[in-house]
Amino acid sequence: MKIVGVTKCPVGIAHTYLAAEKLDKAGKKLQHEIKVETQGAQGTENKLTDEEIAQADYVVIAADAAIEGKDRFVGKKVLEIPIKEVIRDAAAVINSLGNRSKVYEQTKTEEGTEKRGASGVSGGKGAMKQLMNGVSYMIPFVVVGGLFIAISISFGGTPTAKGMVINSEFWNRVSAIGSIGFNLMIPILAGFVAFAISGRAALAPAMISAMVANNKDILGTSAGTGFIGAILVGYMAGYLVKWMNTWKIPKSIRPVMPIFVIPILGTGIISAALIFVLGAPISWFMTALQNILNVLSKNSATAIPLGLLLGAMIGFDMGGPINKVAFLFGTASIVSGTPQIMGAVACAIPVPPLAMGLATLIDKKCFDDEEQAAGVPALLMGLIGISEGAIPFAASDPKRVIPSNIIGASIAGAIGMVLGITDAVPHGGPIVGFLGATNNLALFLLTIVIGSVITAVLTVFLKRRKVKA
Amino acid sequence: MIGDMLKPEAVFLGVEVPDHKKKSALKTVSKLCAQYSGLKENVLLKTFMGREKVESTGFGGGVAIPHAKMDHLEKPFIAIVRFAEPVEWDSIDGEPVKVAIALVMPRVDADNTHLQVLSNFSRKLADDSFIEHILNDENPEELCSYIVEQMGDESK
Repeated sequence: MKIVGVTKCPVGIAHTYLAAEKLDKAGKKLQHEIKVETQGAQGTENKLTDEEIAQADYVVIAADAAIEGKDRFVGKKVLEIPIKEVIRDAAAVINSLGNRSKVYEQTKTEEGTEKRGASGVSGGKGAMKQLMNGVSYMIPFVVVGGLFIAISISFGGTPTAKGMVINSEFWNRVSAIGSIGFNLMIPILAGFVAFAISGRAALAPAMISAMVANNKDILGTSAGTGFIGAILVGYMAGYLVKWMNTWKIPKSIRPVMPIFVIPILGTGIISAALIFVLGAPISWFMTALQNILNVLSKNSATAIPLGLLLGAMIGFDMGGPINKVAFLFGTASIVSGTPQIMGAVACAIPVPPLAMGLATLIDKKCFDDEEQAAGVPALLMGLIGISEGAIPFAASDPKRVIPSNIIGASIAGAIGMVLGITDAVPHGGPIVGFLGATNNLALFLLTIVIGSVITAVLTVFLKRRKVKA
Repeated sequence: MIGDMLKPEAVFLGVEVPDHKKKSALKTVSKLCAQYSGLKENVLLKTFMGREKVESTGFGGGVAIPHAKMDHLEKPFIAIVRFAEPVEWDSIDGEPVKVAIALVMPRVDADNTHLQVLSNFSRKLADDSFIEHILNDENPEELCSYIVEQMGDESK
């Protein structure tokens, strides 16, 4: 077993260390891997790393005073006991871990432990904490990627039938750098969700498999699975590796497990699962959606449902497969002479990022620090029609943000259809309007504003309810 | 470092405690520490007692570690007081205490050096043979040099 512990006594000069040593000795004698952090008068020593905590089967907190950083153990099996119990019989304490430990869940009444409690994005559940770990590592990649692409399109882009084409060599490079940021965002998200679950060994299977999930050629679909696929892969890899870590392995090959056996097996298993289990249903679903769109677009009486569906698809997964189907359908409509379909898509595209930026301005308290920082970049990405700007928000709180995005974007899509807004460029957001690709700039912008405000207000409303609850 | 903090002069063997009770034992410990260090006996006693109220420092096996953090303490020290008769200490294993290891520390320790020594020392208390020596060695010099030697292994 892997055990981590924390000891702390009120004075912090004797019992803290005596108890730590007793735990250490007893743990080793019982042939467990154990590390004990001491929080004494000279500060914290032997500090537990995130990885050690992630890998530990049990956590022992032997303390007669409130320990620091208790929130690190959310979701772990924790046994909290007075320090004297360890000093009296540390071996008995360790042997009782299986029966006495309880999964630690954060409560708001515990002072100093509710780091994210007020942000509304986390009830403190283990799964949520793991997701937040991935999102917080991903945010800088989204910001760099989105802003580099946004800037290069604003300064170097010209609207053409093929999309926003950048003719300047310089801006092309800037845009290419931004694309690398976007490409990396997927493995980083998956990797650090998995890392939070089972530590370093999960990193390679998660990151490589996330790239597989986002590679349409390997997957055998017409689009990668986007950020939702990345989250899925992160959890799959994390729990697969966690399970592999419980295997009874002869001591001699134990050292090669985390660097050889687990990464290779993990990557193989998850990638195979993605290709054979997930690939076909995704392909089928994408084709089905496309057929529905085809049927709806044949009849002018179904313009509103078509707009609603297109918008909903755009808002659902920001750059993922569902979004791609709607976008490509819009693109095809330009060539086939019905650019009002692309118009509806262009109205919906900027809604998620603009709305998230707006929501962070409406009520800061609903977002944690990292999300607030991602707010202004999201606004800028929204203006340039890069819906990925909303991904950090959707990934960290999918239950509230994705429905809000779908509702606002589908309303924007429907209004766009009703007003007959056309867009001759396969790209979305206010920028195509400003560049003259739409037939009515004022109505186009109005539609975007309506959709964005609806999503922003809905998001804040749902998050506030959560904070109170 | 441990050699500066633990001197044979602060090892007291066969100390009599009139009623075998914790309070008088602590009073005796305070008196010996005061004589040794020049600190005020009543301040020491009050601080030791304050710590005992939080939780008994008798950690089992006949050993107690009363400790005190003092303001303006120049020379932190460890004193070993072995009682002639076991003392009722309200220990966590219910056993009476044969030896009290008093730890007297400064409230503020600029570079943590003394606290570091003390935490290493506290860790050694989990070692049964270390405790055996503290309970049984008859010669203060030998006991001190044994402890210094053992702690030397610990210094990194």
